[in-house]
Amino acid sequence: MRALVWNGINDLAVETVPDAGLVNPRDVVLRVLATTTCGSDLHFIDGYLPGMLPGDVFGHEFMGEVVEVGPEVRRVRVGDRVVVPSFIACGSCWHCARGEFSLCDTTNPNAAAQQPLLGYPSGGIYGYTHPFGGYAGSHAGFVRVPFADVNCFTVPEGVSDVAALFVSDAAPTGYMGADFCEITPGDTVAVFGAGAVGLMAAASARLLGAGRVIVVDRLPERLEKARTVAGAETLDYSAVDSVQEVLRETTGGRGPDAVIEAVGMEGHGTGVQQKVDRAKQALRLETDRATPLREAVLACRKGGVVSVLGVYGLTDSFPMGDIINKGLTLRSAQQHGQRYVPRLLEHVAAGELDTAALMTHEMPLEDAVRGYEIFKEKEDGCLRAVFHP
Amino acid sequence: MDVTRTARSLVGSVAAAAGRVLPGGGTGEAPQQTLTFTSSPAEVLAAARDAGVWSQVLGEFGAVSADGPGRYRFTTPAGPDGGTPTQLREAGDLLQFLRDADGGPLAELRVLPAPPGRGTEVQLRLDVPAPDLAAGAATFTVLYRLRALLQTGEVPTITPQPSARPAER
Repeated sequence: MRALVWNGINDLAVETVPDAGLVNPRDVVLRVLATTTCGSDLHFIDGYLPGMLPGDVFGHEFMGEVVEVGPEVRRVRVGDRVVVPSFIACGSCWHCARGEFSLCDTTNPNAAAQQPLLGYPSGGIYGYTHPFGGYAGSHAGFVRVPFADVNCFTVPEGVSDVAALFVSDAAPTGYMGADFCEITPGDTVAVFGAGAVGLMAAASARLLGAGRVIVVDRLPERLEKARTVAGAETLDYSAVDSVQEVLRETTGGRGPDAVIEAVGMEGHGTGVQQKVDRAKQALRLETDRATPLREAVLACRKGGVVSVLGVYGLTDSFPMGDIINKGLTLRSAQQHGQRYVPRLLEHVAAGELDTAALMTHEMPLEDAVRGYEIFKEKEDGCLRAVFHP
Repeated sequence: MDVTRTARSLVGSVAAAAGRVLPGGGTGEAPQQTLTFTSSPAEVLAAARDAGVWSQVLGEFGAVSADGPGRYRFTTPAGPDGGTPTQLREAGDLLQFLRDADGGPLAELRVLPAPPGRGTEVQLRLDVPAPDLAAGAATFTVLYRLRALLQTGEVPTITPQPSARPAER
């Protein structure tokens, strides 16, 4: 099969590799129908996140058709059109039983590599470095899905492949971020970052009852999507001196009840701290440019919730004092997609959540290297590039 | 590129800190690792008496065969030809696989009750050579696999899988 592989820092290629196949009895194999770029891929493409090996097939946001079923799969059938969350869950460990699927205790073959880094290992994820399991990813003709009965969700008739695709990662991540905010009717929620995850977080906040949703970004096309996809108010941070002051003034001096940070370690920003972050990042003394995260902590009202969806590594100058003195709750996780996918598919089928709008570019898998160039540089207003193997 | 060796080197270099042991480390004892299983103590002990289970969770670190009642032979790539014969000694919540040669434990597994609703705390000490991997990381990996096998019926694995590495084409 053809697959997009990582051969080194900023060195991607579409190559012929062996087909994916069944390994364990609860596996299925999918023919990938659609797979998409994700901002978090850039962290290992750029070399900030170590743990890839040359030749690794990557990609973790996908949907497809079941073509092969292991002997102990009970629910999923050949021919099913399914969407699969990015983190692999077993469904039966202590964390899965609590709905904390990305914390699964049993699906990371390289758990020993994560233990010293995280304290305790996470579950495995498709196509996202060997400490996160080393599983082959979805930018390929076929992909193996372990514990299929737990991880495969049937796509309803009437929901397109592309609409279902983003229920694999962007939508459940955004929805989880909004869920973490404990929104009560009428709350004001600010979302930092109008990428795919931020847009889904904003739309989800609206679905969960927020009275106002304010999306902060600098790119005009993304701010426009925030208005059309999420029905949000927007704030261009490059046009104001202080995002926190603007948010404070527009909320009667209180601040947003919750702030969702959906930018991550390669955030843009201004000011001295941003310059310090860039310099330290260039010297590999720090992995993160965390201006949006610091701003989110500053902007949130007293006693509010900061919900962090952006992927971070090691962050310097973290405003712990702000959190203490304002009594903030900081919540974060990698997406527990298996908890949210069923309701998200219902929202999409009912026309209440427009996930298909996240696709701005579509191309064959053979053009995926160019697809990542467009995505990384945000050329041509690229939000997400979708590949069809 | 031998991806298995390279991947294990990668894991080993990152996991070197996993060799940090609980209090008592530095005594020359094999490193101990502890995980909580949702399985009962009886289920864990039953699995630990099964040579086939040991072979499954040791994986690339070795294999175990049953040589008779209470007799187990641990064979590892870096160990002696013919493997290391051991005698199983049980004392309540503790299983020890004692080497014939010196009577010392090649493997020790202890079960303890976890807080209500959590299952069983399982401690493992393993004195098995694991090239490219710190000893503590190897012990943790075996224990993680044992938990996965008991709780899901499977050991997590990525072998075989597609990649563009020459050895895997």
